[in-house]
Amino acid sequence: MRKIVNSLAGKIFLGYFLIILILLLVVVWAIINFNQLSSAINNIMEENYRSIQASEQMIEAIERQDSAILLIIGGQGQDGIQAFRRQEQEFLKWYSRAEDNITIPEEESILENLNSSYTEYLLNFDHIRELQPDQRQEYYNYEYMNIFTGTKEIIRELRSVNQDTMIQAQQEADMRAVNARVSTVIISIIGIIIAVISGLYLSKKIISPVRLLQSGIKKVAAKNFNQKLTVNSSDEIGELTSEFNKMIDKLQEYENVNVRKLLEEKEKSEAIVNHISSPLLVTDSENRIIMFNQESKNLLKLTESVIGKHILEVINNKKLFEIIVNSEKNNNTENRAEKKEAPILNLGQESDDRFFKVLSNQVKNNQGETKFTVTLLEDITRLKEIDRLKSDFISTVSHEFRTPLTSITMALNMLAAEDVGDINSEQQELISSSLEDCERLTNLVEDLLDLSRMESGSIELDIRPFNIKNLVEKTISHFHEQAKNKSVNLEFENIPEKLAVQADPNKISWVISNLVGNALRYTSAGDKISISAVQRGSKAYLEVFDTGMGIKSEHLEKIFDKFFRSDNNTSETGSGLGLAIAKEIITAHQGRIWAESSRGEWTKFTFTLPTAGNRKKDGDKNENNTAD
Amino acid sequence: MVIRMKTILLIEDEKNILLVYSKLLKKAGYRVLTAENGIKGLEIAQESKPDLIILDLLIPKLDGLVILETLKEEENTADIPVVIISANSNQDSIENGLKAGAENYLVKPVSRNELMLEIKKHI
Repeated sequence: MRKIVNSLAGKIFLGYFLIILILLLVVVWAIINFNQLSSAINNIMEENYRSIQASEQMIEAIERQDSAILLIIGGQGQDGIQAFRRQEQEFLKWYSRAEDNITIPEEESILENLNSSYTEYLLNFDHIRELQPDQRQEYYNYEYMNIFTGTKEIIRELRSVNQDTMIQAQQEADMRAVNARVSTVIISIIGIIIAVISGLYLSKKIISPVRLLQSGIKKVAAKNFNQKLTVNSSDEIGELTSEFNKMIDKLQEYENVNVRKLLEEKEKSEAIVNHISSPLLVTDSENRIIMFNQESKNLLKLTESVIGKHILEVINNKKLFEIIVNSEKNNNTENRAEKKEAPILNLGQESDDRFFKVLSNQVKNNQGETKFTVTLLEDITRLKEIDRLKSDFISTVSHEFRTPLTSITMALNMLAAEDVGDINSEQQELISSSLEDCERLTNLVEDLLDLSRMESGSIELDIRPFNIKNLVEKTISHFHEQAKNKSVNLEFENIPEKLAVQADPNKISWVISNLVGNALRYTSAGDKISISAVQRGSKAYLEVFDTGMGIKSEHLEKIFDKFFRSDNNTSETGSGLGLAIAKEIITAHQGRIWAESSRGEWTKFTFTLPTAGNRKKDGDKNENNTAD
Repeated sequence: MVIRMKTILLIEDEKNILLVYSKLLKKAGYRVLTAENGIKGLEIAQESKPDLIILDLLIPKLDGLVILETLKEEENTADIPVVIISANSNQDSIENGLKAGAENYLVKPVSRNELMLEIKKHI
């Protein structure tokens, strides 16, 4: 029951119920008034009217009796008596009716008076009859007339009493009608007021929690989860409110969890970034700084205020900027020849050199748009220093080797040339093997020096445009005899006539010699060595191909390492540095060198060089020619 | 007709090289003078005016390049051909040597035939 009363439907029903109740009250009140009115009218109609009628009849009867007396006085005694008696009967009939219908207190005494008066009237009638007819007139005139009029007066009094009562009753009915009107109006007004007040109260009671709920929803929409809604009604709105509160709790919980997770992730990433011992810089797609770590802060003298500023505004280093901007181009290149090694920058202050390898990577979203660029600066100052020390060491050691090698070689030369006396064949054999080793040692020292010079960058390249075909021709001319002796077919093919590269011809010649020399070492009778060149874009690709024993795939990268020797290298004369030097030379020319091989079938060394000047058109033509 | 023996001055601190070179050159019929340090080398050069000087650059007391420059500055020694034989193969060093007036710059190790050919070019 309580539930129904407290429910929204209950409240609305209660409002209607109140109005119905008021309506009922008004109806009942009106009925009561109508009843009272009708009973008042009844009083007039039935009670008093009957008494008045009786009074009228009694007056008529007594007047007729009086006429009957006059008849008797006039001499018609028998008719008069008969009429008198008849009227007496009539009178008594109405009298008893009046007696039966006593409604007013005075009526009783009036009727008693009438009774005694009429009795006296009747006694006087008897007295008249006993008188002599001549006396009768006189008696009638003096005695009887009085009694007659007296009795008639009493009846009239009865009538007027009843008439008065009737008027009074009518006035009373009028008054009741007025009262009924007024009271009905008052009750109706009171009812209307109560209905309006209760309607207002109820609607307010229904609306106020809705309003509260509405403002609560607005707050929640604005992510203000702190304020709970107060549940002050137990109806549907109340239930809704408490459900809503539950929802806020859940939302807040969710929000808190999300915020906490985000904060955790943020802290985590910040911690990671700050614990990276290399300077790290994150920039957005517009090259504005969005994040950096402590190391960056120290190195590049950054403050928190640089966040959001363009990188060039903060770090005045165009090279670094270009590397970051071009990071995508570099990372996207699948082509081995196009892929450059990470650029190295000197980011030291003033005379304090600090070298950094710049590793820049673009982070993209699912649509492939660049979200931000992460740039890691790897401090290689120490590595460079160690590298320099190593180069210096190798250089020093090599120099120190040269002097004793000179005297040994010279001494052996003199012995072999019999400058200091004759030697026998056994001695000659020993001397020439020693000389061979001296030569090997000399070559090693030379290679080591070349390599250390290349690595330290102290060697200057004599870069100029030259024709590749001419250079190849000149270079392999030294190998023709050796190839012929081994029955290896050494040739160059498909080298465009006009293909020119921008490089140091001596160094490139050295590289070709080294590659051809290697090829000769690993080929046998019937094999083929061919050198070819093509132009692709602004690069010339030179290939040294042989049908020799090939290289194990796992060795393809390692062969460019210093002193690397594959298992099948039986050569005694190689220093193990040739390919390492070749790589250094090609790298110094902004090119790349790599090897491909099919074990037991073929080996192909390819290196790239920048083509010379505005030769692109010719180059393209040549490339087409080679394709033919 | 007496053929005067050509004199070659070896300025070199390495005893073994001196030994080998002087043996070789003597065998080839030259008069050989040796100096193991820079000061001594310069003195001998100025005193005996050899026909050819074979000069090492990294020598004690006086740098080979300074000796060369001094010799070229003085009128009576300016005409003496000087061949540098050094372990230093740096381009700079080679350029400096040639600029200072050396006839040639050979990088160690130098073979017997190479040395003989070089000497015959100048005397």
